[in-house]
Amino acid sequence: MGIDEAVAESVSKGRAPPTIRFWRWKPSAVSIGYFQSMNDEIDLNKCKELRVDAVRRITGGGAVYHDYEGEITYSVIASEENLPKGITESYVEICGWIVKGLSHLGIQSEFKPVNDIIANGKKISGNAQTRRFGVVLQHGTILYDLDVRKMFSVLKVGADKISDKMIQAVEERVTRVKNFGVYSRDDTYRALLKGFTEGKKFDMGALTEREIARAKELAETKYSTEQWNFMR
Amino acid sequence: MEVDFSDKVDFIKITGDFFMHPETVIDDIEKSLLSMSASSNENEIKDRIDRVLNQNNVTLYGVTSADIARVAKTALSGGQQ
Repeated sequence: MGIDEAVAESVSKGRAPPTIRFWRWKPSAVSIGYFQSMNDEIDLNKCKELRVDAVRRITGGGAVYHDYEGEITYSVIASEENLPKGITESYVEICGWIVKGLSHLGIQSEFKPVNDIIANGKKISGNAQTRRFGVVLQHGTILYDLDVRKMFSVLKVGADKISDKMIQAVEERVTRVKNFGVYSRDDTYRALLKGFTEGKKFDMGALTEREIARAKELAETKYSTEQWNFMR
Repeated sequence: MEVDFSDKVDFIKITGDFFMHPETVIDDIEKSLLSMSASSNENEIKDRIDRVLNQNNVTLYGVTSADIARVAKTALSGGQQ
């Protein structure tokens, strides 16, 4: 979260170009939307037991379990001028890059408002966006594999309620890249990278020292604090 | 949504799975509903929310001011939120 905000500040101040990041959560974590309550959404004792982090996002939307092995996360951070002005239109644009990426794996998918991508009628990607200081920040996940039982154990569903029926109900609504064929994480990343960058001039780059320092500062002073994580 | 009230709203915290840009305006919306009569109807609550949204050039996504007003009214009526 700190890196996304640090890069958004860089882009806002003209110190960084429009940026696309692919990354993963280490350790696995649950993120909640800006307007959600940590205590309402997450079983914090279970998170502690399973060494799963918990953090509030700067974007709205719902609680998401981010498994280290189970998903690929991306962030797009760009000036508002580089993307369609309307919120739906900008979701369509960026999510279109995911759709293209998945098509390189032979997976047909489509954007489904408000903020999902579906394949074979099931959700394969969730996305969230915020706008501040003239910058659009959209991040999201593409499900590569999914441990539904673990996901339910850290979200406030109640361990006693995690039934096979409930798990089956999620399996009927959610899918993952691995359901479509034998693709490695690296295959998936490369397909997505192609989808995101096709038709664009780009350089592969690294975070600047200033961004790394700022991200660490934000991690310490914001994203790891009770004040931020329990503000709702 | 969490609400404390007697005749008037003493405390309100709006939570949920939705989008609002800029996000921090949620604090102003909550402030605008404080001291409101607990018997306010949905339209009165919606008007207060809309005033803050318009003043701050806010975009709601995935939810409307009417949705928030409806949930607030349900909470003030002692129903499930």
